[in-house]
Amino acid sequence: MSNMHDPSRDRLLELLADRTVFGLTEGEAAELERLLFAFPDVDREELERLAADLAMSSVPASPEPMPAEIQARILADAAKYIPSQPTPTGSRSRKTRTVLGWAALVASVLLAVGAWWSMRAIPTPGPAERRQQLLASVAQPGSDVIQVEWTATNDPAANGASGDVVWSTTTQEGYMRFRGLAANTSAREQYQLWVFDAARDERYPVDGGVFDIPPGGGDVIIPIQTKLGVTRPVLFAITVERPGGTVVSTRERLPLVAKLPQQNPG
Amino acid sequence: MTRRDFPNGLRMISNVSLTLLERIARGDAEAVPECLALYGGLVWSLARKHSADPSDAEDAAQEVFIDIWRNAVRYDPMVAAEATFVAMIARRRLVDRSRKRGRSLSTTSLPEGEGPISPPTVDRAAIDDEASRVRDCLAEIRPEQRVVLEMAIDRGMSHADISAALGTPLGTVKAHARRGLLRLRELVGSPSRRPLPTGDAR
Repeated sequence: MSNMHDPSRDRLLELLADRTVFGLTEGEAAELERLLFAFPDVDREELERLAADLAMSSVPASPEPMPAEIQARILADAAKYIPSQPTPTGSRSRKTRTVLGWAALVASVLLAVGAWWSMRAIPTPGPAERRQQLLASVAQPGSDVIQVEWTATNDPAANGASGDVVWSTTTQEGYMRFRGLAANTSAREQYQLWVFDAARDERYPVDGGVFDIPPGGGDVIIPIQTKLGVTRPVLFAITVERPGGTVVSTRERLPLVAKLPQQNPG
Repeated sequence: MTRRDFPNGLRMISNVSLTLLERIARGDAEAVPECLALYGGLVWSLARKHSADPSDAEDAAQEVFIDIWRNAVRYDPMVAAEATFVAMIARRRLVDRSRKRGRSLSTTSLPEGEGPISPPTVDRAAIDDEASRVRDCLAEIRPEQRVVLEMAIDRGMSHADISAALGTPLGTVKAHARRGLLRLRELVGSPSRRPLPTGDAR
């Protein structure tokens, strides 16, 4: 891209930047295409490559693997979008290789789907059972499973509330246990979990999911559903939010917190 | 990529050293599961950041891979690393989905008069050198521009979410993003920051 100060060129750069970061409306996209036609020297993907590099640098070295059933669906779908291998006239071996290649792909899809189905066929333990399994591993050598008690605040919903959080950073799996937390009316408000991660800025806790507490008392076990990876959890906090939860919590109502004991670095 | 020029002008390309996307573009079915295995985690990670819930992330990941298969023929290893191309295609689809949905994930409000956001913790050794270099350059742009770019690109937040979180008008958020990205481009392209040539085209 050149540094010439031409208003149209500047506008083109603006649109390319907007497209890269936030996307464009249909009108803006049409304007962008017109300007790209007028300035063929401009690299239309330079800023997108820059943003892609930036995005990659925030992805953990070992990201959470894509679930097997989604991989199976993607593989099963791929043949529709991938061209057939070019086959020179009279070359049966190439044609045979192509057929074999897709057969191998289909086989791998079937294997993946089979594995997925066989996993589904096994009865899945419920949250209470999974929590117990996690808890059982607390004492095992090398286990990273933590258990931390809730602390009630002055919020009326937390009057007499107790329970704990069990969490494994390795498996990104955890469960909240509540006893005595006020039942909510889900049409009016819902509880939402936030996980504060020492590896992230403390102003940006990870959304741990929205949930309800049914009336009737007794222990309630809720699975934690973090939307982003949690590396070093330091605090779990429950807020009361509008139905469906929020992307920006005002933290006006914060009935429970569970703070991990401070660990020595290293 | 290994190319051999034959006397009759026919240019043969050895399949052995083609990238995965080049193989896919040529219809090599065996490259498909390899590509999914190599980039599935990257795409899934980006999809989750940009999606409102796991179901949305599943749909997004599927759409991204369809785009990758369709665009494989456009991949040029002389222009970008394959992972960069994959992440670019993924972001394009995810940003488009976020814009259409009008909502993206973010988690907290920010106090007024915000300062810089700390970059997320990453294993530098495991990411591409270029990605690491871009991240380093990000530290040099203006704090208000960096904040907006990190919220948008690292967290997948829409400009409306960022505006609400920062208490900053929408137009200002977009202006910070534009200026920040263009400044980043300057910094990354600065001769003093370009990696020394190694003789390797990639």
